[in-house]
Amino acid sequence: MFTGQYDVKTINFGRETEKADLREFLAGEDLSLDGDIDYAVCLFEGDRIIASGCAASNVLKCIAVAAPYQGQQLTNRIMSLLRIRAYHEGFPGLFLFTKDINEAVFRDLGFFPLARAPGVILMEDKEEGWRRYLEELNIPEGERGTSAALVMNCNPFTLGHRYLVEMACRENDRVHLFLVKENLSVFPYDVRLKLVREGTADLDNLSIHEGRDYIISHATFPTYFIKEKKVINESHARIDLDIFSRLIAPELGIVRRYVGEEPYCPVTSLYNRIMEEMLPGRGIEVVTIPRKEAAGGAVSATKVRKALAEEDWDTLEGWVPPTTLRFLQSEDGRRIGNLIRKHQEESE
Amino acid sequence: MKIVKTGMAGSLESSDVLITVDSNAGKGREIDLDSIVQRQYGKQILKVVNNTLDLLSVEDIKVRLEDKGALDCTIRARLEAAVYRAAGSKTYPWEKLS
Repeated sequence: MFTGQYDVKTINFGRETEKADLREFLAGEDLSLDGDIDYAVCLFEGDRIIASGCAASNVLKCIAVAAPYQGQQLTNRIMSLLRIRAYHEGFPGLFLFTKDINEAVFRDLGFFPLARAPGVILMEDKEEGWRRYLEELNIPEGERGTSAALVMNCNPFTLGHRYLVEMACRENDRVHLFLVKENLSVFPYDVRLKLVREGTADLDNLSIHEGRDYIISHATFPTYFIKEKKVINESHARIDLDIFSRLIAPELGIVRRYVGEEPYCPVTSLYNRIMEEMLPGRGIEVVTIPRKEAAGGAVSATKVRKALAEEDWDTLEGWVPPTTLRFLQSEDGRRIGNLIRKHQEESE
Repeated sequence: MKIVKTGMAGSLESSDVLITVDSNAGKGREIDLDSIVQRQYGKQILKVVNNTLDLLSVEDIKVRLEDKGALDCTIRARLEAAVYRAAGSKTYPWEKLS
């Protein structure tokens, strides 16, 4: 590949000095090196970075060219490198986060706008890729029409989740539950899905769907998965809710979204606040349900994970449905408990 | 040649083209061209693409070209490379291509 008079180099994230140089360059461009970035390629003049492109698996971001070097199509060069790398990694599709003023630049490079928030835009390498996602959900005609929606991670499924789902199912003819697909939680997606299915088997107006890229994913809402940093990025929440309210909800006839009150986690509570601000104007009512109280206060998945680490079965019995309890007590469940305990010890 | 996976070749540099090919079993050729010189050379580019695919005996394929003004020889070379990668082929029919 022609690289002109500048050197191309990928950043070695194991070396603090290289990372610090990139962080400094991005800061000058009003960008920050998010914790989920796992690849970065830069153009150097001597030992100085003059252009960069980063990726968090299949999400491209932090693409910048220093002002004095613009006008040499260096963005094209960076994008070629990112695209080839994505090809070698075998990603089926790409997303791209950028400032809204750059929309035209990336349209010329094969990306289409997907969602917007003030100042930023999320683009995708195919036009209306979300339509394909909805088609693949394969929702029967009988399950379409006026409905309510819930988006949950269920890490793992608790009586609190059960309470929220039950409430939605009682008050609506049809309820769509989108389960967050990302496998960044301690309970793997397959296990979370199994526990939700088992714990809601008696609710026949409930449809359970895979959340995937367009619903709280590392593409639409990266901050959700780098929670421990306590970085609160309002734009990400707005992007995610823009997709939900403008593209997904109208297709499925969703007019209500149920959400559990969130007094603890700052990221989720900010998300809920923005939901209440954005959705009603777009024809979706937000129904906030207070947490279910049980012995020992409100039920939360965080507390369940902690109790599992301590193998406190008596407490767990009051917080999770029997179906979840059975799994937690199985060999696989105990293994997850050990994992949580190890994490806790490490972070202490 | 049979396309069995995604193949990519080229770049988005000026005078180059980034070509992505994919399988399209039983559905013929699907060519998606996006070029900065579409109006002037769109037909010519499609001709080069089809000729090259004929030479390689590729019947079913999805081709996406993001062209930044590549010359015919470049388009041909990039397409050949993308097809080989997508065919998982290690034996190149050099004589057919010369």
